[in-house]
Amino acid sequence: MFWQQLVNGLTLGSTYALIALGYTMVYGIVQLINFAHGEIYMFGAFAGLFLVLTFKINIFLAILGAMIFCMLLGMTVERVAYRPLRGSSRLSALISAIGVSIFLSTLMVLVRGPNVTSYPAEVMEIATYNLGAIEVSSLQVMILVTAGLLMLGLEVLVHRTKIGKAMRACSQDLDAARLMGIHVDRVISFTFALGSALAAAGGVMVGVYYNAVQPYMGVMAGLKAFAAAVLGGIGSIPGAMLGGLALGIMENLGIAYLSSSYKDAIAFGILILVLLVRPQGLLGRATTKKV
Amino acid sequence: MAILEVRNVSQEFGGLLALDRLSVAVERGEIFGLIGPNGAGKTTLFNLISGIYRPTSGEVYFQDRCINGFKPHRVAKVGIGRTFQNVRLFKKLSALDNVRVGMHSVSKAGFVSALLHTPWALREERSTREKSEFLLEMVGLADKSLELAGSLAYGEQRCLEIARALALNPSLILLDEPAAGMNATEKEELLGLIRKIQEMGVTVLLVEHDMNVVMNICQRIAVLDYGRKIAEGSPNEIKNDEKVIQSYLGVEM
Amino acid sequence: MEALIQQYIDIYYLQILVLIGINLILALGLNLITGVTGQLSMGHAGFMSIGAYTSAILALNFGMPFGVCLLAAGITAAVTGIIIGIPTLRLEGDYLAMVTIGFAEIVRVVFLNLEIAGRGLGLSGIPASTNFTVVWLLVIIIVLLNTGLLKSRPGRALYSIREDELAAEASGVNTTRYKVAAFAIGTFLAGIGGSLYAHYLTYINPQDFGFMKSVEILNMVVLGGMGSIPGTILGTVVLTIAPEVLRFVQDYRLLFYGALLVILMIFRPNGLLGDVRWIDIKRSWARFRGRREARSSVDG
Repeated sequence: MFWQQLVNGLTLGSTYALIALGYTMVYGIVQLINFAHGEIYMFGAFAGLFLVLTFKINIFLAILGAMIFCMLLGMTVERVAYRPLRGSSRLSALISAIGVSIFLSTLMVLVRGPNVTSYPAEVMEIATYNLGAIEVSSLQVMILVTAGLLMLGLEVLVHRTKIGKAMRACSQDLDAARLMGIHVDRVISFTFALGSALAAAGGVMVGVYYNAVQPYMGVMAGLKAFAAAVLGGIGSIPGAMLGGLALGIMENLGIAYLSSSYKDAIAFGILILVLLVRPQGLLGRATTKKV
Repeated sequence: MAILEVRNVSQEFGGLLALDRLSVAVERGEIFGLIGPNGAGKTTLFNLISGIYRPTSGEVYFQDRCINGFKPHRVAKVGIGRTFQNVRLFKKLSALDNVRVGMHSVSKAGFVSALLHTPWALREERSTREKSEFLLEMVGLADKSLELAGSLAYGEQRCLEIARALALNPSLILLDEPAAGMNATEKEELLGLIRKIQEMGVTVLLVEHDMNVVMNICQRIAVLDYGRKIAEGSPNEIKNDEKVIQSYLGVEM
Repeated sequence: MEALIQQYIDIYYLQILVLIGINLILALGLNLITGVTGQLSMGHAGFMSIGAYTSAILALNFGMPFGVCLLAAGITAAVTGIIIGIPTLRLEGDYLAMVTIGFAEIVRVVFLNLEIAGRGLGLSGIPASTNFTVVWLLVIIIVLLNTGLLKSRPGRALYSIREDELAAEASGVNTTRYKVAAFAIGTFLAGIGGSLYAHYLTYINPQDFGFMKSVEILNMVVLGGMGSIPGTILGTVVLTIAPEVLRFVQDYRLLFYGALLVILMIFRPNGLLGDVRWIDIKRSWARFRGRREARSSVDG
């Protein structure tokens, strides 16, 4: 039972991790909690669905398509709703983010109705494998592998490429980075694009995994992913990955051994606990800001 | 008698050593200057004293009491006021309100007494207002008391910040580059203001880049470089110190 | 008193006025937390719901008089506010927004599953103790107290936290204590608003207190001018009446709210009334009168 829950938890957790990465990267670079991130994840799920229904493609192409779409969406949101507020108060940016979140979710309700839709079964052939007492579906394997590859790719990008170095520089000191000749606006756009793409992938995968796509799926998922990012250490990329996986596992164990109607409360409870006991999260450094 | 004693203080930021076993003592009533090239750790020291950071090692003593780990509002309560390098005023509040907030720790009216308009609360409000207006007059902003702090000229903003810091009735005031961005006249007025502060009995610890200001007004000066103290003494001694001249290569004194 | 009022005002308009009053109490509470102290709280509806259910349950199951229910509603909401506020507001950072969103959601789920709260069906038959007089009496008291608060030492401390938390600390303000205090007062008012709401509609269910309600209240605070009481009043009146007037575009209402928040933040972050201060009005008036006198003296 335990190992089964572990596998389920890791699967769910990888999707949380993908979304959490978007939060953490944006927070690390512009100190903004991107409330609209959950809605971008939701748009990703719908984009994938649209592509599958219209072009009859398989799940991998759907993920790719959704990622591209959400990259553009994320960059647009940044350009329109966040960049003009970069010099203003923190509060203004937060409120603007809330505004975008509401706008996007309502837009989807108007376009597609508030009801739950699902991906057609043909999008992926599901086989089940048995490893002793554990049942693993090929879908779970696919999610774990894809998420793993995406996260690996992110690590490589952040640590081995020029743009990755620019991202790291910006997250440490935006002004210093600008003085060094880094094109800060472009780096920020890129960060948003990256985070949105990952969230989109998560959206498609969750949509297929739970067989449900609806306009408000971003609210809860966004909240949980944020809790995961805080758990791992907000601003830390490996932290988001770790936090996501941990949260997924804890949530599944909670459903199995506690009650399932309060499963959403688990993420919230973890958030409060982390803020109480170790606000910088598992991997975060207790940063002292420059004054 | 030393009002402020920094003993062997080090401050580390994730691998970067901003302050390296620094020790310095400021005597009561003097104007003490802190100079050094950019990044030498001067503002870090200020932040440490005012409680924004907790030293990685070493202690800070104020009036013979260790204030390590005191949160900034507690540091303000024990009598240390400060200004910031990048002026941090309450922009959407009036100049008068900025100074009145400075008086927060020397007044008592809480939510209940404020709502009930008790006579002593009203009396305190009046006295707060009077003292604040007095301070505004002292820094030359009496006619701007109702202007929004964000709409004041840069030099005026710096003076307002000083008034706000004086409002908490400090025994020690930390001035972080008060002359930055001021023209010659304003700097003259600033010198006069700092002398007046000293006359009030307040000890002044001053970080400044403008050498004319520093040499003119400080009784003693310490020079920092790479988080260490490389020299300490009277203005004349500092002017002629080899190490100081080297670290300031190219700067006319 | 109530009967007298009902004689003069048509029942439809009376309804709107009562709703405006209730929304005002909610909005003033949120204004104190977000507009004045600068802490974004996105779960105001959750505290409203705690107040509503507490009040309703006390009335229905324990037969408590309305005054007791009302007070208990406010206190319960405030206590819960303090409990989640302390760990969250202790930190510098914008955690309160996310925490309150999560909290409101949890509250909704709890009431959805609680036997005594009627689960999905909610509670009905709540004594209709709310009327125009009660609501507006409370509104007047709260506005007066609020105005007095903002001009006093604690009020200035709250504003300073919004403006620059670090500088506020350095000036001697215990920012954590004041943030929690503002949050406690704000959630207290939310609880009161919830109770009034429950005893007006006489029927409540968890759906009434969803995220969108929190968004509506935020819009009321932001539209008129954050931190300003006249601004909050203006915003509340406009946004309570607007849905009535614009009933036909009901579906697009939230779209509009979302876009409004973004547009306001970019172009007029101080809201409609935000930048205008009493002293600016006095000065403009003095200048206007000065010009008139100059003109008449030239002619004369």
